[in-house]
Amino acid sequence: MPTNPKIIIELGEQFELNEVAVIELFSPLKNWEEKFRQLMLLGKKLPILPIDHQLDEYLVSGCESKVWLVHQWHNQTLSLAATSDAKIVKGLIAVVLAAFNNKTKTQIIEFNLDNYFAQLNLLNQLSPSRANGVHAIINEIKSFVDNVH
Amino acid sequence: MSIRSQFTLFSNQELNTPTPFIYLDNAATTQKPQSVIDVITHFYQHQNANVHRGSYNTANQVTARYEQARVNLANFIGAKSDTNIVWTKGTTESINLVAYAWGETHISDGDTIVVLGSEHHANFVPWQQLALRKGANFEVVNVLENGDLDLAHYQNLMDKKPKLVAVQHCSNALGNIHPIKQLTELAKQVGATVLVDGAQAVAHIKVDVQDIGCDFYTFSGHKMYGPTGIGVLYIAEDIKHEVNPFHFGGEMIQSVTIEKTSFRPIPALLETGTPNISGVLGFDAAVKFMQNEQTQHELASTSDLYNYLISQLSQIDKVRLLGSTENNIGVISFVVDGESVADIGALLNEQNIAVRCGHHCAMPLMQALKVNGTVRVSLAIYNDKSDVDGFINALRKSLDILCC
Ligand SMILES: Cc1ncc(COP(=O)(O)O)c(C=O)c1O
Repeated sequence: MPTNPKIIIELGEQFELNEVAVIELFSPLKNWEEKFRQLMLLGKKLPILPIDHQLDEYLVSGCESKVWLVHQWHNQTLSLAATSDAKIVKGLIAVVLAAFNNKTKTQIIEFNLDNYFAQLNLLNQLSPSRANGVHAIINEIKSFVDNVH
Repeated sequence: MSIRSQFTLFSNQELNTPTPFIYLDNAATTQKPQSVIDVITHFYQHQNANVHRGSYNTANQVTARYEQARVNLANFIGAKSDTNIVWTKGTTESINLVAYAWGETHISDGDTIVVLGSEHHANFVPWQQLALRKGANFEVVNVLENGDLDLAHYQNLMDKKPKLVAVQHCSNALGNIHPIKQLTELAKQVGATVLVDGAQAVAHIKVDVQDIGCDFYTFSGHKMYGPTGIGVLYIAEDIKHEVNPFHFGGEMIQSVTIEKTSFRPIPALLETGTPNISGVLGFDAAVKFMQNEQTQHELASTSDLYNYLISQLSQIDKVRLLGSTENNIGVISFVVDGESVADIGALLNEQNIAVRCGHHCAMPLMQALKVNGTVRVSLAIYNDKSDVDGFINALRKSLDILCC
């Protein structure tokens, strides 16, 4: 079943968080507990992906937990919506979407991810499988960019 | 010396930083007492030689110790003789070995194989695949809501006169102890060959293979305080003649000519190649550890700790315990309504708590219980009340973070 482009564009617009805001939220946090609590809060900010968009064909492979990711190009920018059955992963999705949602192809290509995660000081907090899951989501988004003309 | 202090891993500073390391994943593998580690180290430092072929003292001494280990292991599980004991890599290899060395010639088109719905994949997939290769029927005993097997269904399946019944002694995901003697008797009455997967049993309950009456019994050293890479396949006297060689090479041979080869009997028949000598010696030390009085004493009291764990867990909101906690080896699986087990595992890990989160290599059981996975806590003799308290506090904190 194809996604509904209008819904995805709306969901993308509803998620207003950007990378600057995320860095501001995380930079004062010192211990693991504060960081996970913040991830929980961020996860709640993800607009709800309708259940009829949570289809196997939108599952990101390579994630330990289930992650559904849908996208739509609109006015040269990429609208993204995603969710997961695990709350920590939802928080991580929010962190990733903050960097890529509502961005142009050039902005996405030029985005310095290493720098971003270094400032958040988050990836070393994650188990290898969860870190791989984050990379899988990022790679999926990059494939959307590679496949647009 | 306390039991716990014999497990030096727990005093490793690095592991216990910043909070104490709490190991509650004993159904996956147990830690090793110093006596096991010492035997292995001593072997390589002072005695290393191959077995069964030396003309010199060291090799003969190693061979004697290696064969004595077989005798000790036979006594440990009540086998008739040391010739009923075959060394393998572990439970998984033992079961696959039976599937080929016995199954290839004794299962054919239209035969029936019965397993429980709660089997570990190691005692499920080899039989499912054998059935597919041979055109045999693969029957799975239903799991009741409380995780026990459906005995009435088991009895119905016996009417199909199965050729093989392969059952676990205890469930690795839930810890419940099956009525193995009764299951074996029912299967024997209809002429079935019976294999018992004892991987989870041997560290917790006294096993007597002759009393059970099964044809094959198997377990792994590493789940009973021994090293990895070594396990046992017990083969009862009466079934030996039905077992064929599977791997070919040295050690198993009586004589070889260009035209033909004659073989030595079991166990040599199934033990071709240089064996895991240090593993066998370490396993032997683990058997001694299991048999010593202090261990037996501690073992008797693990049920108190288990009951304490269950009572503490039951008090936490939204925690749903799975499986029967009666007649249990000290394992509890649970889910928390509205939370994913992966999240719980991640937050417990942050607090230096080792538990297993997932399907526990028992996907058919997860399907029967209608869950994607569980958090599994499994106790061993070195666990104490402070482990349980630490775990419960950490779980409460994890749920507080997840539900905020
Ligand atoms: C009931 C059961 N059977 C078989 C196995 C496989 O044992 P191993 O990995 O040592 O071969 C396990 C291990 O988890 C188990 O719990």
